[in-house]
Amino acid sequence: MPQAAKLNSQRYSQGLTLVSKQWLGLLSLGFIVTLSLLAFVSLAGWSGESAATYLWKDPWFWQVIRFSLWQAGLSALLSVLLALPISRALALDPKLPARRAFLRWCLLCFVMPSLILITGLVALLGRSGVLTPWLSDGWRLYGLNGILLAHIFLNLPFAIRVLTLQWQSIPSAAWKLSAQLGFSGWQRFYLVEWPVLRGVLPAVIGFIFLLCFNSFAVVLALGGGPAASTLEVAIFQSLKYDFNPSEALFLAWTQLLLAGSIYVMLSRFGRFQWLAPAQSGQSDWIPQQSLSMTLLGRIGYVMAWLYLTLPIMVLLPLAKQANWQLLLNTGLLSILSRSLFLAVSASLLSLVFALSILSVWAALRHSRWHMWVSSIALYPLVVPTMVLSVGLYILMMPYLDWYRWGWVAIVLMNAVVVLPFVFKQLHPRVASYQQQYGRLQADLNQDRFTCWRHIYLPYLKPVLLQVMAMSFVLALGDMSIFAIFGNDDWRTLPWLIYTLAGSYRLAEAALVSLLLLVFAYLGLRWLERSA
Amino acid sequence: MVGKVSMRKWQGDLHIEHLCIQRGELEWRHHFDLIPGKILVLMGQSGSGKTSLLECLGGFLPAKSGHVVYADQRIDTLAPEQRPVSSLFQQHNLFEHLSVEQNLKLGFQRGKPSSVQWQAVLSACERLGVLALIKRFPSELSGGQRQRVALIRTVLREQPILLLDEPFSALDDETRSVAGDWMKDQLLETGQCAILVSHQQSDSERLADQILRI
Repeated sequence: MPQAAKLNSQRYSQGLTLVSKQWLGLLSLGFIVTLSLLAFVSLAGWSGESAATYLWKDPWFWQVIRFSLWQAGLSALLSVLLALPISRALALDPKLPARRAFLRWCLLCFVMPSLILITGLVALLGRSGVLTPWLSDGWRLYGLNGILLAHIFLNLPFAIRVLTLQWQSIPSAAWKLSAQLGFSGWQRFYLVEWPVLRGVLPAVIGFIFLLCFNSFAVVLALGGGPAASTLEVAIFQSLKYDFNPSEALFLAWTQLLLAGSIYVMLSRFGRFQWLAPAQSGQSDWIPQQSLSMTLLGRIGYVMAWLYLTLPIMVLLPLAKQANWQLLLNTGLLSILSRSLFLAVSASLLSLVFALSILSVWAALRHSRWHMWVSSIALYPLVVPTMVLSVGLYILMMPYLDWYRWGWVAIVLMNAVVVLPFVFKQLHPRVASYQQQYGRLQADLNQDRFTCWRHIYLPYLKPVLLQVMAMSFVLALGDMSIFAIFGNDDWRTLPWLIYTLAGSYRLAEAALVSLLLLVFAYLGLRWLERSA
Repeated sequence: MVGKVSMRKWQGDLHIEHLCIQRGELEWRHHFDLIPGKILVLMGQSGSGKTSLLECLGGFLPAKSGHVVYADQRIDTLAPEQRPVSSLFQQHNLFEHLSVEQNLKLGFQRGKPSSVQWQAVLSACERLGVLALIKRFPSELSGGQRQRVALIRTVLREQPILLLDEPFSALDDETRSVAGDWMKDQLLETGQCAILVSHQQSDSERLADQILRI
């Protein structure tokens, strides 16, 4: 056989093996790609014309873009700047009390369903909020103020965790050396601490920027008008209120383009770690800090505790006034079990997606293919959830009774949306498995079931439990997907909070928020315990 | 004392025929035969291609040309999983998240050795002084203990060709000779053949039926 033909037939048989062994992963990849293509096509097709390019000349459009970028930039910068002194204190001040509890609380804040926080902020700083009388007369929660307060609340904890882990990763030998060489405080920062921070700061800022850029529930609830709207909310409004798919399509393309370029930049900045279990601090030698730095760190720490707990604490007295009977009449129990069912299903499904896609990833040899597979798994991070949901909704509307089958779409879409998080967390573990044990596994030649059951899954288990808990909490707090596929007869906990708060039943909203928080907390406890 | 048990017998010869291996700029050619029950010790300086030869035989590094034939069948065209070989790598031989016992069982189909096979494993563990450790995890073992556990699994895996990359490097002289003797007895009994990489002159003197210096 000529060399080229031999090579071709070899490739062909390798391809066949890949398809026969990795059909589930290929199916998952195909599903995500098809879903996004169809979503865009259906939006384009519905309007019967191309995207509403006339928006290009509309000052409102530019206002939305400016505001989206501005609020995301401010949120990201402030979150990281505020996190710096706090993380430093957490890592280097051994006398700081309750550090473990604080870092655990941080994790909960980062994944906290935003409706809980929004209820808390309204109760604290809204028109008749607890703290509002002490603020100046011109104070308004709605608008940039509220959006920043909420975004920083959600993302400061994330930055704190990443930076604390970074500071803790400095080996004690480096501290000892800096002491022996007689470094001043500034020298030590520049030569020992800055190098470990420099690597992660741009990535952390970029990641928070992206999350805030795509933010939906916070802006919808606290934006308070067209002046403070982001692209994601604008897409929702153009569909829900104006039913103008061509406008939504144009906004969606814009969002995809901007978020995509931000992501591409971000992916060049390097990686960071944030899910590692909270440590109680270094036991080995760390240098004595100057009094002013120690004080600054401690003040920052106390302020952070207050900032991150007050919006939740304020819910407690409020929830006491709630009318239980009213809640039971609205079917609280069935809403609760529905929420749990949807979140558990979505997190399990996203695990199936991630594991099967990673299995394809591991089976491929070339790094170019690796990149393609990873890009597909991570791409739901940049594509607007709103676009996917609405596209799917419109596409299937003629064939499916969404009133009846909406829950399937909610599970599916939530699984797709949390996939990037799950994939990113599992990926390093799978890669290290391949690197360490790939050959050993090939040499042992066990059947696939034995490999998965006895070797691979036990290896992944700690991370699997972590990501499952995380995706569960993220799906539990979903607002935007439900906003499209759900309906009022068939609510979930976040949507119940939203409608309660919208009808000025703040006490009941507070109670349901606390309930949601308890379940999110239980999920995360499981995460940290099993890690 | 764990009783003696009978093992599967192998009778095929291994032929390495004009095998050419290339790694970057470097190229090596090999041509030799190995009969059942015998040990070939590969010696040579670091970077002389010893590990590359084992990787090629294991199917992890494609050969540029030449054949590998076992029992009159070409095996160089097979995927790593399908080759009749059992390898001891320089590192990562044990799954760190599984106990020693689980690691040992994974040498057998579905991770479930028959009682005869498991008997053989226990008997080997006793002879090599690791029987008391089998409930532990690899991280609780010393380098030498890990190496012995991995050696036991590699040899008892019921594959006719053993590829051992410095299997005794972490062992002291006495344990080295116990492990070497056990392996030699095992090979004589089963007819497995082994290609063993070593830097130690003593290994080649004690174990080698053939020596290949590269």
